[in-house]
Amino acid sequence: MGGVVRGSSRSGTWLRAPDRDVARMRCDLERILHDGAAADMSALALELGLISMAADDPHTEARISAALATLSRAIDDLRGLGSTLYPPVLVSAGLAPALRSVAERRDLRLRLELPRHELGVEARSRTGLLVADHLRTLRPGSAVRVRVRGRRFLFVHITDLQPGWRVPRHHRAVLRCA
Amino acid sequence: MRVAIAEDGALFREGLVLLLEAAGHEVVGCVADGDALMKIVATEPVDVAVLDIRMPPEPDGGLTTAERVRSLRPETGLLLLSHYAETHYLMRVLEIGAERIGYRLKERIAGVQVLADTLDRIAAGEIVIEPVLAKRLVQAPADSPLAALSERELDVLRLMAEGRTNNAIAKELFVSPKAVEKHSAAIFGKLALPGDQTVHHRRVLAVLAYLRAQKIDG
Repeated sequence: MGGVVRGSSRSGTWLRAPDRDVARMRCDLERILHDGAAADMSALALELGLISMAADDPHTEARISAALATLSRAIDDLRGLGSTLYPPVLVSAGLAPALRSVAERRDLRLRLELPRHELGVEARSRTGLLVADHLRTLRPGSAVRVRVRGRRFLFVHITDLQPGWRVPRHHRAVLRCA
Repeated sequence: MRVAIAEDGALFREGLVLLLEAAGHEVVGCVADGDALMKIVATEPVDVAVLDIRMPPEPDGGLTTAERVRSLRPETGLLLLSHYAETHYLMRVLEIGAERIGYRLKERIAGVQVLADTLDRIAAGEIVIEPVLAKRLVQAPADSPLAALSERELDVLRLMAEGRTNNAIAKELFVSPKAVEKHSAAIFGKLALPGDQTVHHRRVLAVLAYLRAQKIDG
């Protein structure tokens, strides 16, 4: 996983972005989960729905309904795992929607300052994973500012203030873009 | 109802056909990508098209195809399905249209009642939003303006965000439509929401835009 603390100084902690191979592997794993296990389990849910239609006694119907609820919870778990591996809209929609999605689920107040130019696929992927992994370490209600600058080298500066804390923390990372 | 399906997962696609047919609907086409769906929509009358969001053309072929269907056949209802409940997808869906459109999680339509309710509402011109997403949007920190709403008003707001009409909300909460109107007016007043709350889709759009802004920007 990315977001590993590499060191600290008076100016804050340094985070390490996942390298290109790790980012690609995480993207592939999410896709395998989505197209494999998740797809099969959703199909199984439909099958249970069909069986439920044919059921002619309340006891069987109740058991199918309970099985569907269990399956839904398992799919939810899989969904959580998939989006932790790789935010699902990072490839298609980009950095801002992907990070907002993580913040929304964790009840964070997020302010983004991103480059106006579009980031390359690799830079977007590595930066997205670095910041998303960090956001997941914060407590609900935290206020976070994420600033990304640069072209050949991307400078990432994350400032977070967790509930009950008086002093914000600073985290930085530098990524070399291909 | 005449339904067309575009879904790249073979097992889910076949299961959906069987479930729709068992529920009494006619499946007029069942394909694995957006381009093939467009050929069906161009030649066959379709009441509702069901599209997987993540299918060819990649990455989000369901959304781009839904745009094309809406442009070619505005009268055709659209049901977008996904493994993920994402606010970004919801906003893209609402950009495509605010009437006769829905966005739901794949496994949540497995119950025949839920599937029938979703399709009926879309065919009737409503917006149908995945309840999981609506619930997440309504959950807010203690210092949010939403904290000024009573428990019952939060229930009404969540159901509004799902795209429910006053009558449907009244049925769900076991109250009269008049009581829902009263709660609705109180919610719009407390949150200073813009828009005409008597026009259904405008009300849903106003509520969703407000909730999204609250959730994301705090």
